[in-house]
Formats: sequence, C-alpha cells, structure tokens
Amino acid sequence: MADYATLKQAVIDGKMAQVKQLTQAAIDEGRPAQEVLDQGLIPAMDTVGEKFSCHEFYIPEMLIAARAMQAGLGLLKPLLAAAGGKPRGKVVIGTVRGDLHDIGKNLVGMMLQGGGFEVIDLGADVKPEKFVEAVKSNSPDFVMMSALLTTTMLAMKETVEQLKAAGLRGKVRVAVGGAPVTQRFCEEIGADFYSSNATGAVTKAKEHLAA
Amino acid sequence: MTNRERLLAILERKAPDRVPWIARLPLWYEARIKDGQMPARFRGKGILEVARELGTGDPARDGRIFRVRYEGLEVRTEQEPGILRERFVTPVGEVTYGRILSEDVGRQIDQGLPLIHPIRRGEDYKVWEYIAEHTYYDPCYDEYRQYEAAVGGDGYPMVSCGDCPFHHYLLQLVGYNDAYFHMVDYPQEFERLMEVMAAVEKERLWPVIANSPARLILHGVHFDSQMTPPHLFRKYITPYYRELSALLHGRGKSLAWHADDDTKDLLAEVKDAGFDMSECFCTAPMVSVTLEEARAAWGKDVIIWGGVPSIILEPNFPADEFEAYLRGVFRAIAPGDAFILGVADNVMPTSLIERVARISELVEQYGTYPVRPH
Repeated sequence: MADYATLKQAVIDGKMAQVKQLTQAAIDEGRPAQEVLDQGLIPAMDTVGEKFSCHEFYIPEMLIAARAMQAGLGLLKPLLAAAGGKPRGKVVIGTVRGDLHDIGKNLVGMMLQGGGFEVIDLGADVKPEKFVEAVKSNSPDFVMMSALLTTTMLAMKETVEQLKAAGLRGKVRVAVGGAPVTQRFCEEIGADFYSSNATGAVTKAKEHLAA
Repeated sequence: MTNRERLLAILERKAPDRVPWIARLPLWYEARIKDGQMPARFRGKGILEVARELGTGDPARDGRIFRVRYEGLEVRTEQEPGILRERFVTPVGEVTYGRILSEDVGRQIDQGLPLIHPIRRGEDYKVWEYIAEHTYYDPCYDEYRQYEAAVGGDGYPMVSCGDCPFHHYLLQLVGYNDAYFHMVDYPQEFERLMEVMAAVEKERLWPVIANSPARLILHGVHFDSQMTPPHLFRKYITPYYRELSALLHGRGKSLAWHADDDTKDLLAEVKDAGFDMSECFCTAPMVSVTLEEARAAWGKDVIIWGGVPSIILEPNFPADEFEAYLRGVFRAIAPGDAFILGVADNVMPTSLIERVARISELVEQYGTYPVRPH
C-alpha cells in the first residue's frame, strides 16, 4: 500500500533519498504515476507553500523540499508521459535581459513543477526575442519574467511589446515578479499578474487557469 | 556643519544640524557618461561636483585599510570575451572563481555576481580551506588616511572589510542556488570550512581592522529574511558579529552592514548581533520592511542609512506619491536621531535625477534637527 503520508512528509522535510525510495515503491506497487503525483508530491508542495506563507519555512527549506520533490517527479515524468498525462499548465520562465539574478526565478520554477506545471526554463539574461521564440515553439499558458534590478525590469515591458508585435500576446498570459516589480508596474506594462513570492505565483497561475 | 561633521555626529549619537543626506550616484553618473545624456548643467563635471550641486554628499566607500595576499598558491587570471576566470591553483587541488558578463550586463553594471562558484563538489572544500589558511591581510593604513583627507568635508569613509564566512559561503563560494543543498549534502565539510574561515579571519583580519585608523567599518552584505532566515542567522551569523562588534566597540569603531535586501524578519537579529548601522537600508515598497518597523525595532541602537528605496526615483513612480513618501520618511525618523538619509542602494541609471535634487529641498525644509512630525 503506497504510503503517501510518509512520502508527503519526506518531501516537506527535504529528504531526497527517501522521496526517491517511496516514489519508486509506489511505482513498483503498480500505483498510477498521476496518483503518486496528486496524492504525494503535489500536496507536499502545497504544505510547503503554506509553511512559507506563515514564515515557518523560508527559501532554504523551500529549495530543499523542492529538490526532494523533483527527485520523485523525475521518476514519475516518463510514466506520466507514457500514460498520456498532461501537466496542469505550461510555463515559459526566465530572468530578463541584462539581469543575472536567478534564485527567485528558479524557486518559482521549482514550485510550479511541484504544483503540476511543466516548466520551460530559459535561464537568466533572457532577451525579449528569446521569450517570443519560446512562446512560438512551446505554446505555453504563461510567460513568467523575473528581474531584481530597476534597470533590467524595463526589459519586461519590451518583452510584452514584442509578444504583441508577434501576434502572441492574446495567446499567453504574462506574469512578472522580482524585488523592484510592483502591481502598478505589472499593470503599466500590460502584464496579466504579479506576485511578490513563489507560492503566490503558483496560486495565481492556478487561478488564471481556472478562470 | 559639513557632511563629514553630520555623519560623525550621528555615529557619536550627537545631534547634527540637520538630517545628513548622502546618496550614491556612481551608477547614474556612469550611465550618463556612457549614453551621452548627461543633463546640460552637469556636463563636464566630476561626480563629486554633481553631488554637491544636487545637495548631497560623498558616500566615500572607496577607502581601504588592507590588501589581500595569498601564500603557497597561485591565482591565474584568464580572460576571454565576457568571462573572467580566476583559477586558484593549490597543492591540494584547484578551484575556479569567475564572473560571466553578458553584453547587456556589461554595458549597464557589473552585478558582482560570481557565476562560476569555486565550491561545486565535495572535494572543493579542502581546496578552499587551504586557500583560507593561506590568506593574509596586509595593512595599508596610509592609503586610508590619504583617502579620508581627500574625501574631506563631503563625507566620512566607510571601509568595506568583507562578509562573514557563512554569507560569503552562500553568496560567493557556492551560490544561493546550491549552498543550502551543500549544507545538507556535505555537512561536515561545510561546518569545518566555517570554522577554518572564522579562525583565520579572527587571527589575521580582525586585528588589522581593529588597529586601523578607520572609524566606520562595513562588514556583511545582503542579509535577507529569506536567504539568511532568522534560524540560520542566529546560528551562523550572530556569533561572528557579536564577537567582531565587541572588538570594534572596544576600539571606538562602529560596525555597519549593507542592508539593501529585505530585513523584515531579521530586525531583532541585526540588533542582537551588535551592528551599529544598517547601510543602504531598503524599505517598502521595494521590500516588505518599513522604516517605521525598523525604527521601532532598533531605536537609536542601530543607525539607519537609507530610507529612500530607489524605485521611488523611477519615472513610473508618481510625483505626488514620491512627495508623500518623503514626508512619511521625515515623520518616521523624527526627531532625527540615528538616521542618515540615503538611497537603497543606488541612484539607478533610470532614476529621475531631479528627484534627488527635490529630496535635498525637502531636507532643507523638514530635516532641521530636531525633525518635527508634520
């Protein structure tokens, strides 16, 4: 009998080896990959997000939990694909042109994966044209952009404009985040939503999909 | 009073004639030089002249009191387009420390981010241990004295002396992305490295700082509620700074740290560690902590140098809200003890420079000591 409670706790505690072992055990037992994901890994990351929101967890704990979750997810991915399972949504993510700060972007990416999203990570210092190209080739539900500097956040606006010019703006929702970014800035540049933290980004992405 | 006198008054917990106002202009100034868009009234003028005309001072952060020297190892610098690598070749192995600068990043500013971190594998720890054990700090006090004389009345030197071992490990040696994993995966190596680095610094660096002519020491950067949360701060950062601050206080010196990240959950820890000043202190809306929260937590014990988050200087921040924000700053800091008005952490290339001048007007209008709430 798959022990999802223990699997969930192992993810929360960041015990990567145990997560791998329990995920493999569930697979060996014949449990569907989607079930392992839905009953073990995703609820674990939901709890991690809640702990983050109430300042019980901080980024180090989130990163360690997310790494443990990814260890389990790595085992499930081929099975999910083979079973024709679909991710909750698809996200193209990157830190904008001229900005090398990627910890926030990485955390959002990991939390999205933990929330059942497929994440296409373009890395740091991503030019607007590269975002546009990624949207063309991957047809994501979201483009998420991160910036840590007031000088680089302006590249978000340029990216939104290039998406418009390419006729793609109506096909993808744009999210922005990072220390200098605000809700006001989000609205000014015509992005769809802003989040000040990783869990908020996942929550808002889910809300947008449900809307 | 000169800016130097105002800053010294604040450091000595005495009353200045008005709130000191020192902004950091280099990023804005360099950007205008590069893009040729220097406002006409500043053309042909040096950065200090521009600062004076804007009614602000010299942050004076270029002084130094020591130079780092290595023995028993070789540092080989290799440069190729966009990449600068430093290879530390030691008898116990070698590690590479490097920065990658994209064309865009290089054009704007060097963000100071090492993208090649020297510790990537378990076996790299012993190499960095060796490097730490073979690092020496040679005093260059005359250089500092000359610098202080050159700064004159425009400011008071704050001398950068590094970061504590734990945060240096997070930011530089391993990088935030992997450091927390390393702490789990290589706990013994990590703990041992922290001990070695701290021991070397206490034996070789701290006496150089303590015996120096510098009065204001900057040590520690970018502590953040999320990246160095309270439990890690208390375990790995507090003990180091309690000891260092006690040493410096005994020599009549003040200890500052560079505080342009979010300190909302670290206010008690910063005070408890013995810091005298949070420099480039960043506030909402750029981060979550407010000036009022910091003042309530720190009182006169921790001097705040900051209060103007750079985003309120941006064109997209409405002028009326900018004015209201500044009036709120004067309300929060009244009567003006333990406070130096500054921008966190820089007047950025995209900032409206006229707002810097406007802050100077507001300082003249509202900043006379004692500042009265209005």
